[in-house]
Amino acid sequence: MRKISKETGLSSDYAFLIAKGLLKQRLIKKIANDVFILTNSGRLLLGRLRDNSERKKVPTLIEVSRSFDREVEPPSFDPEIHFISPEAIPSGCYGAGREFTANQLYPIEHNLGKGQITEKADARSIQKSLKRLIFASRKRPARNA
Amino acid sequence: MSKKSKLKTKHQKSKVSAVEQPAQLGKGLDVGTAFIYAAEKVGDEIVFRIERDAFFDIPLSDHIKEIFGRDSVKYIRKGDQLYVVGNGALRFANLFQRNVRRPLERGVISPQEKDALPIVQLMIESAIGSHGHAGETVYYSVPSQPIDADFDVLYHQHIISGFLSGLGYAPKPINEGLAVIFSELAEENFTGLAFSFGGGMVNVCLANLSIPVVSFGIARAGDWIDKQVAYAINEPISTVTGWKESYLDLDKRENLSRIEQALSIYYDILLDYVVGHLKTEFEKVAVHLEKPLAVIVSGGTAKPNGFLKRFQETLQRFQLPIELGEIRLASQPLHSVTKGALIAAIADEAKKREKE
Repeated sequence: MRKISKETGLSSDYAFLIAKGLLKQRLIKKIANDVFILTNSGRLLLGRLRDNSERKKVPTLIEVSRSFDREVEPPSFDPEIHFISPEAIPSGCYGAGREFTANQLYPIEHNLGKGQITEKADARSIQKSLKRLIFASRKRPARNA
Repeated sequence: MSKKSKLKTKHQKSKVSAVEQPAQLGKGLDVGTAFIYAAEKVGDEIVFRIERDAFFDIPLSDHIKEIFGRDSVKYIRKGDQLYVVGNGALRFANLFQRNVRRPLERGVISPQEKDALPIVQLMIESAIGSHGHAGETVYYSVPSQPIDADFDVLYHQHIISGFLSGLGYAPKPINEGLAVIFSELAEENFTGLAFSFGGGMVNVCLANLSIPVVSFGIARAGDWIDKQVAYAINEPISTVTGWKESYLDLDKRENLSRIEQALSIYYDILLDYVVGHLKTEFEKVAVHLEKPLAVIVSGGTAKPNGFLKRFQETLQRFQLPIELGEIRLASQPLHSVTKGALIAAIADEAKKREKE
């Protein structure tokens, strides 16, 4: 854990995410204790928890087998939080004791609706930019000699 | 046809067209630390939907939703918790002498506020609305990599992209500084130096013919000023923010109140910090220019009266290794980034149609 803390800069608060694309790309095998950790600094780690039978009160990340840094762009993923194997993730272990589960409470009611138009501007203010950008993207025809 | 009936027909036509004018495809989105801006072009106008990027939690109680509904206070209910969002959050925070909660910090999704992700998602959805057709292009602003802080922007970029994809859009990121260049430097062929003084970060971009040559972020901006001033004069941050946005005049040099004096001092410190870093970055890159560089300044933190003059004085004092031309404030400092993103999106949609 000390190694993980040092590497990630995290002490006790981290989030778990499944990067489905990584599974599809066969970059990892679907093993019950495989977990993904998205660090606060935005790096994606693939690690393994201590085996269920050995786990006591606090889960221990015993191995970081892959680290997806900036040079490997993670695939786009659903911002909702899921788990590969729910039994691998014990409850009440993270920082303030929050549980990251697939049943995390999401907003069930709101009155936001479609945002009101708060300001307007004359579209002529962007016409010049549009013309130059759109014109620049068109290929010029070759001139005759 | 008589003259009267011709006029009537013309009036009816214009009345109908004003109501039914569709939005042009392509949208711009600026997910800022302080505000979320969305823009689209409708007929001869650009329409903006703006929401303050803040929320304030209060316990759920009977009738409160009805009261909120009557007063047009926007809220989100999550379990037994009620969150006032947007401008209402700041009002409640000032009322209770507490600080608002901010889902973004220093330009990116806050690591301390991961629970706020669904709130951000809803606020973005409210601002951007539904797409004109599946796969409509939306350009969303992303800050540059900060040079004075140890975090990267990739997580933030992917989270926002995920939200927008989920709404049926084709999201594309655009550097915040470059968006300002698109919005304001068409006459200069998208060549110049742009500053976006936002709430969480200052984004800087030097572009040549729309290609970024130097771009970086500085993780100190309007929020940093508010925090330092609040600590210095022992007031809530929300109070300082509200006062700064409404009353600050940086041209005023005499008979300053405590809050004015503190804001003036911290603005000077911020400008020195930003220009100091700018000089260092330019010295590293050794940029060679054919003519003096046009400079454009935008962002809410640059809005107070007198800011541009102080910025010009700071630039002169630091003697940068490149020659600067005209230094000007964007015509709409709060909207430059969103307009630039909108321009990129509309241009993209136009290119798509040409290919079809």
